[in-house]
Amino acid sequence: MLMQILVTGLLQGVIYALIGLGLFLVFNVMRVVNFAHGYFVLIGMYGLLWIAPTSLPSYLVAAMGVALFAATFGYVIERWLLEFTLHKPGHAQLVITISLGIAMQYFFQIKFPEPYQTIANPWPFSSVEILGVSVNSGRLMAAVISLALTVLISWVVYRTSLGQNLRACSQSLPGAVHVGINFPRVYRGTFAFGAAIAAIAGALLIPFQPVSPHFGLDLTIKAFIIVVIGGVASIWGTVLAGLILGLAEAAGSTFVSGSLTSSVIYLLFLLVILVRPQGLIVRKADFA
Amino acid sequence: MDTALSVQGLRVWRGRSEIVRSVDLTIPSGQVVALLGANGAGKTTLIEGMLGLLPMKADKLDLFGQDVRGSQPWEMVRNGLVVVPQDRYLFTDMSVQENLELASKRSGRSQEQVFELDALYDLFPRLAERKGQFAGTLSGGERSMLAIARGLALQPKVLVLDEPSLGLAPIVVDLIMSTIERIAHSGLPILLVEQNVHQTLAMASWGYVIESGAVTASDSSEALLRSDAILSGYFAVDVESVEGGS
Amino acid sequence: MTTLKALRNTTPRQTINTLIVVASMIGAIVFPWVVDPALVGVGFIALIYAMRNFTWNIAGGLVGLLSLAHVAGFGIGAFTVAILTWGHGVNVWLAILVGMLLSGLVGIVVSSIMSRFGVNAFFFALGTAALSLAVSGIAASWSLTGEVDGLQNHTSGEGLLHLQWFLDPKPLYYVALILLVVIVCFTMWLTSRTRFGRSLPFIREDPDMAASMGIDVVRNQALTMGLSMALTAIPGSLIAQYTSFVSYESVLTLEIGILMMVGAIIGGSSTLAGPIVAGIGIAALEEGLRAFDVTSSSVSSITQIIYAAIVILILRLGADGIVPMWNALLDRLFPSREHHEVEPELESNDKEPAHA
Repeated sequence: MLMQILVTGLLQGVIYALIGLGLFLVFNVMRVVNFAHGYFVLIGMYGLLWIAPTSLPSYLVAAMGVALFAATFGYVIERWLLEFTLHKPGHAQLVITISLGIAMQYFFQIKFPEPYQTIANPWPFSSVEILGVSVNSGRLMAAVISLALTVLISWVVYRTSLGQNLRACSQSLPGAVHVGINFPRVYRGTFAFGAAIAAIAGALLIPFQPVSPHFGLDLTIKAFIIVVIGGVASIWGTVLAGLILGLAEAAGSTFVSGSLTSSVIYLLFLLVILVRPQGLIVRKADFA
Repeated sequence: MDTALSVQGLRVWRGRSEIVRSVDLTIPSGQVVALLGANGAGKTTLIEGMLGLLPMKADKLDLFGQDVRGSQPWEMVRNGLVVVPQDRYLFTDMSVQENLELASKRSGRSQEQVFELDALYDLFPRLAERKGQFAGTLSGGERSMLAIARGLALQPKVLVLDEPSLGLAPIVVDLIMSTIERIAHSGLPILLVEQNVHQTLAMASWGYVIESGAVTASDSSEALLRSDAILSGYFAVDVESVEGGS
Repeated sequence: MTTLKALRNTTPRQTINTLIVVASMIGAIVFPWVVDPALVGVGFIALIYAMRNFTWNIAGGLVGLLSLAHVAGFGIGAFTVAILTWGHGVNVWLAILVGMLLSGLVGIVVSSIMSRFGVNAFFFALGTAALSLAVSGIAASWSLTGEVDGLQNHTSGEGLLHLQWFLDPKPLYYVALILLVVIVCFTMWLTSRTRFGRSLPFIREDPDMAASMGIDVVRNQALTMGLSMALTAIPGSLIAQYTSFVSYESVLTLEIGILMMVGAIIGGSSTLAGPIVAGIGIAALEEGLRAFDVTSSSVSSITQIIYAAIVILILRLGADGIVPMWNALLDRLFPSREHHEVEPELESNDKEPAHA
């Protein structure tokens, strides 16, 4: 049973880490608290449900397609709905992203009235045994690809000049402006990228995770849990927090019902918020 | 004589209030121009206005004869107007080396690299010793040096230094001022904003004094140094603020 | 009468708004007698929405606490009635009081803890959201709250004492109307006549400044949050009595909490009337969509989307909400001789529910 918890927990945790990473980047670079992030995952899930790929190549193409769509969508949202809130105090950003999420949730509700649908397994094998635990191929491949993407993202952030610009904006926005970084463009790109990551995570989830519109909110909160616990210092904190969340869920649901497990996780999260609110400090605008 | 930067009728707003009112200012090529004034006279506001960080209007804002009014701050930097801000704004979680690399990478592929990284380390040997250290762990003097070096790494055509010696020990101030003098010798036009009137005017060819957002005197350095009226007026305010601060 | 005297000294806007309030009040009273009986239920729901938004706005608008914990108060109100009255035969009014106390206590504790740890607005929203989700999860897995199946009302008492009428929705409608009016009047009295109430706008605008003025910011925030959540329990209890069924899905989802917040903001959270107008508006919208023969499951979904779109639009345009926009329109149409600049404090012209 311990193995069962360990394997499923870690596999789920890697995907959570990927979802958390998207939010982490957006928060860290732009100081935007994006309550619609979980709904960007739904774009990936419902997107693939709608395309319904039947073979592995078509699945992969579809996944890239939804990522591209989500990136465009994210770009438009940032440009038209968030950019004007960036240097304003107040609740506009929070309420806009929450409302956007709600609108998306009910859009999916109308468009896909039948709950808990999934797609055919696109992978050419059905399940494998890891450490004596039978693992569904979709779950395994989702974790593998998530891990690969996480490594890729961290490489981009820490090793490329694109990532250097992101980190510059994150560490000192005025500094970034003084070295000639076009920060609104960086912001749009970051938001689009965060949305694309979320959509890819959704595309990876859908083969083994039946989808329902209310997942959006759950995933948003979970992504926040990951970012808050992981802290703002490094990508690896986020990854670790994702793994912890996955393990905690796996362990919890072995002993008590699923909804009670999430209750405990939410309460623990509340504690974390109280103990280290500096984990997510909302930086004041430096330029008007 | 060529003009590097020419400003006429510059007005800058902070929030709703107009802080800088109709300022004319010229930086000739290859020279150091001093901008003097007490705390709160509007020096930093003037610079942020020129760079496009604050709402501004100007009858003329020419960089080497090219009208750059309405440019975004990052376009200004790319056009060669580099400001080393008073608050430094370093990337604290990056190493000294990375701060400089980032800037030199941004300086545009086509521009000739006057200030190579090695040259910068020659200019600031202290930074060479601190290469791998995070910028957030540097001392005040080192931060100022890194800010200047980062500005130079952007390969500026005009360099604006906003109080590079602010809050530093006298011995460090001397070091930084002499380094600025060396930079000036390379022929880079510099607008130097300083409280150190004598040291600043010693290396500048021309000086402007501003008070409450307007230029009250503009003359050659020698004339400014000799003109007691201007200096006493300037110091009167300055002495007060120094007393208040200590 | 004093009202007539007051009318002479007021701006055209105040006159018009007063007339609207009076007309709405009359409309609300005669409403059940002039419409199709089926619409009385819609009217009741509209009142519940209005009450929900309004009570949220006491914390959200008056002191600017962006709380998502209020749905927990709403759920506590509903479940207390279900457990105490339906399960143990306790008088329903007593159960409502218990629900209010519990919910108010949650509010006070949440706000105190949050300010104790110096949590900022985003964390406040996030933390209160986590709390609501946790409470919702507990309700879904606890036998006392009926787990996922919820609780049914099998009591048979009828009348005001039991707050239950089996065939006619009118009495419950009037109970809701009276309670709403009482809550609104109480809030108006609180904000205009008490020291405590008058300190709230200062706390909202600038807590540090308020503290320097000698206002006990932490205590007043906690009390407001407690009051606000206690009052939010009332619509929860009423909806439980109305539907005779309570489950975590019907009264304890975070979506309801978000709707309270969004509703208050759409209406104009700096005004007292705004949240009520928005509450009535959404009920009318739902009913209107039904008339368009949209399938019933889509009706609420479409309303939510429209709701979300409106709030995004309002914020995007930099507006304050429907009621402030309406006031600005009136000021433009009927400029008063002296130009009164509206202070950043609350408008006291409130509009009462009328037509659903």
